[in-house]
Amino acid sequence: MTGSVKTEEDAGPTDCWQICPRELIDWREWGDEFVVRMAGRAETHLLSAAAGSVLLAFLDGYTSMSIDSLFARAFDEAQAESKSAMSIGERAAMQAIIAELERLGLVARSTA
Amino acid sequence: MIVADVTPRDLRRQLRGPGLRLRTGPFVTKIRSRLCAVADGITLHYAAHAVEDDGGFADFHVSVERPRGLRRWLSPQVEFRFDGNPTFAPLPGDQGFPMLEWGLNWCVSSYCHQFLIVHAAVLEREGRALVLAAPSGSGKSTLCAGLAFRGWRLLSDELALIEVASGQIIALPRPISLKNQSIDVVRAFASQAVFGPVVHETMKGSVAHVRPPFDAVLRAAEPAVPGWVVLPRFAAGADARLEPLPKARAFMCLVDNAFNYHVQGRDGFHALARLIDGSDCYGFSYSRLDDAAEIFESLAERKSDPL
Repeated sequence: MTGSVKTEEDAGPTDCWQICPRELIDWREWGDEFVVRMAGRAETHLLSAAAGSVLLAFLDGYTSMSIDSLFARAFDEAQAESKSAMSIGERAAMQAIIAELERLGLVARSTA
Repeated sequence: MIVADVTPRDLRRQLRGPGLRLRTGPFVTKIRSRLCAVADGITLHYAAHAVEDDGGFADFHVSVERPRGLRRWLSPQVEFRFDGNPTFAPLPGDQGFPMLEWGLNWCVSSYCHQFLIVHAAVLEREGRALVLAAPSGSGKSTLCAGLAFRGWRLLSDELALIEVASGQIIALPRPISLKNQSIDVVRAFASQAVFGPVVHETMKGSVAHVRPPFDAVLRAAEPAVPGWVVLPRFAAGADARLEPLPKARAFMCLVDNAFNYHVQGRDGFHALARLIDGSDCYGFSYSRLDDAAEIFESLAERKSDPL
């Protein structure tokens, strides 16, 4: 790894992500799958239920979220209040989802 | 006036002279050609289509002619021109009518962005559209031809025209293009189907066109609302299987098979979403048209409530 570019492997609890401008995103949910269109890239993607839930958490209105707050918001509101930690497996899954959304240009690491 | 009302002599005169203004669905095409195969193909396959008056508006101005030069005498070729300009590389001289058909598909898919256009066959029952979306070689046209002669109205063999504002699917009934083994399969299945000559060694192999049923042409002004989206796949020797398909995956398949989804932007996304919302979605594999016709008959019956 060179330079200051981070990957999902080195995402820490203080790292935050933000969604691209909301007006660029159209999405639909059918069953347990999502499709999302990003106008900025003129691309449409199929997302799993988990990735779609994370995307919706971003779209809910928060400008910038850490991996813990995203997890709590997307999957477990109660956990957010108790501030209980994600399991290692859950954190890895969240990191993979965020990396995928980042790769698709839907979210970016927040500089704030 | 329809093509069948025009005498063969007058049809050739129009094709060689000012051009024949042929209506296909929402489009008028002015066609010029000196080739007998083109005149014969139009006479046979477009018998029920309307001929518009001279001087009226035409969406496309096309011709199929032999290119100039010595080669026309040694190894005859045919060339498709759009607005007077060659559009594709010339093809062997006996492929005039197939080239007209491929050229007309190209005109619609390249220029008619008032519609969201998906590479799909479309049929209709009780006002509902059955969209068969698949890439070439998947058995889409074979299935389409089979159903068009078993109680389904043909809207299109090749191009699903989706009106973005209304979500309706507009009919574009034109000849059904069959390739290779599917020619004999449909011949055996539908004795009433009218075939043109088989043209061999085209870029798609042996090709023959089937005349669209008259009723489909006469009802071309009737659109359909979404009913079913089916992804067909021919599987040699396999039993027919219709399996529910997650809507998000059906959506992505339509995106992959759309000609101008990227041109439509946000409207295209919502038009496809509306099509998926209104449709039951399935994957379908088959090897025998009789089995397929039976399955789609029961599919239509299960959704027979009035719109």
